[in-house]
Amino acid sequence: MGDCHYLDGNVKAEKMFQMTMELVEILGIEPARVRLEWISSAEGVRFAEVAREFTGQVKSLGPSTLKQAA
Amino acid sequence: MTAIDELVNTTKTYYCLDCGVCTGSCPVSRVFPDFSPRQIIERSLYELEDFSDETIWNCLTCAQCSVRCPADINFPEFIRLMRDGAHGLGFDGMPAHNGMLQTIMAIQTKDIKQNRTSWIEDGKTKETGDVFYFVGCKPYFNVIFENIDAGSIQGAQNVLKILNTCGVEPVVSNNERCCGHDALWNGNEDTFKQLARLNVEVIRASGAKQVIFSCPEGYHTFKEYYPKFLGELDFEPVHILDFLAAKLDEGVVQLEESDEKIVTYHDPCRLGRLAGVYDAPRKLLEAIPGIELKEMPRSRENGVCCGTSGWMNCSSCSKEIQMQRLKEAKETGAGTVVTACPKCQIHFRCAKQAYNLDIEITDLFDIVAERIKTG
Repeated sequence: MGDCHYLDGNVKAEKMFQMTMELVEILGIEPARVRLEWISSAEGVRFAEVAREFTGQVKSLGPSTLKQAA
Repeated sequence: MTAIDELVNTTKTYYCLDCGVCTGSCPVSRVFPDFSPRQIIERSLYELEDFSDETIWNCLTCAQCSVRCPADINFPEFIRLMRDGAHGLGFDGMPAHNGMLQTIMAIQTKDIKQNRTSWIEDGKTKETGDVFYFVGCKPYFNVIFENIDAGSIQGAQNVLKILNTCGVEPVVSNNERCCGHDALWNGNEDTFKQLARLNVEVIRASGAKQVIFSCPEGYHTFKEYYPKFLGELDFEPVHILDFLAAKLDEGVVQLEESDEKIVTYHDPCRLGRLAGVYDAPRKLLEAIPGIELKEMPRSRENGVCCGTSGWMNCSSCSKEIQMQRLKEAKETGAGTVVTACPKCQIHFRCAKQAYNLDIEITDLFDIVAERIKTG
């Protein structure tokens, strides 16, 4: 942590992510739809791998109920 | 007739005497002279106003102007309708907190299963019953405003404690939605109506005859706007101040003496000017042994707004209003500002932290919960 091109950007991002996860939990959205990963701009291959794997994970959850009006 | 002409007719804004009391009273105009209620009305009357006018989003809808208007013009309602027209054309205010709160409101119109009751802990609640406690947005505020120690969830726990001490086990529901107050005042009637309809369904399903509020926005919205949009309700919205006053009169509960404290009371605009509740919170504070109430120069119908409303257009002007208000509170000699609105609490705590001010900010029901016992 702190090893960020935007100085303390990743520290802020982690805080924001934790808040988002808490809100997602209260709103009843599956936590598996949200993820935080640290990938540097030099790690193109890793970015592609994570994006592919995460897309698969979200797809396997099926459509969110957020698409339906209550 | 243009859409704005229609608005002028429905709100009878044509009675304007052009006296300028509105702008002279406005807390926003004082710190941001580009905003003028009088000029907005004049422009509307002379067909010079347009829905793209950005200043309509600066209004706090605090009703300081309308309680003083000699022609009885309901400027906040005029602004609400202007915003509704503007929103329909794609114009919006500047959402605070990057629109997070507006997103949460929109999500709550959807088919979701919330987990918003984990704060209850050892409080006693029921699935169905005569009394429903409408918690409001506190579970969300508690997460979003953790950095300013907003104490929102403690507020909900304290209200539940008060109800339990009074012998009431209320229904608290995971299916409760945002009351829609902010959507309504953001000009988003569609979202408001969806939220309102869902809340009424949840309350009906609980079988409740009374719905208790500690949040002035929820209370005023249910009392004034739910019947306006959805017709008569089959339950009664009750403010906890009225509920508590009755229990104290009956001798069901008592307030114990605690540390002596000099406090001042900040009237939330929804509870004061909009719902007309000025005496009840003061009576309650004075009934607490050891508490001394000192009034600020601007109190009751002159109580200035906490600086932001509807999670919109929060700016340096809002901070200026908040800072002046907290200074005014301090000058009474009180060490604590008591409010009765979770949002006033958030806004003041934000200003307190930003300017490192030496004043306590407390919710009225937190003070009561600390001192309440069965009679």
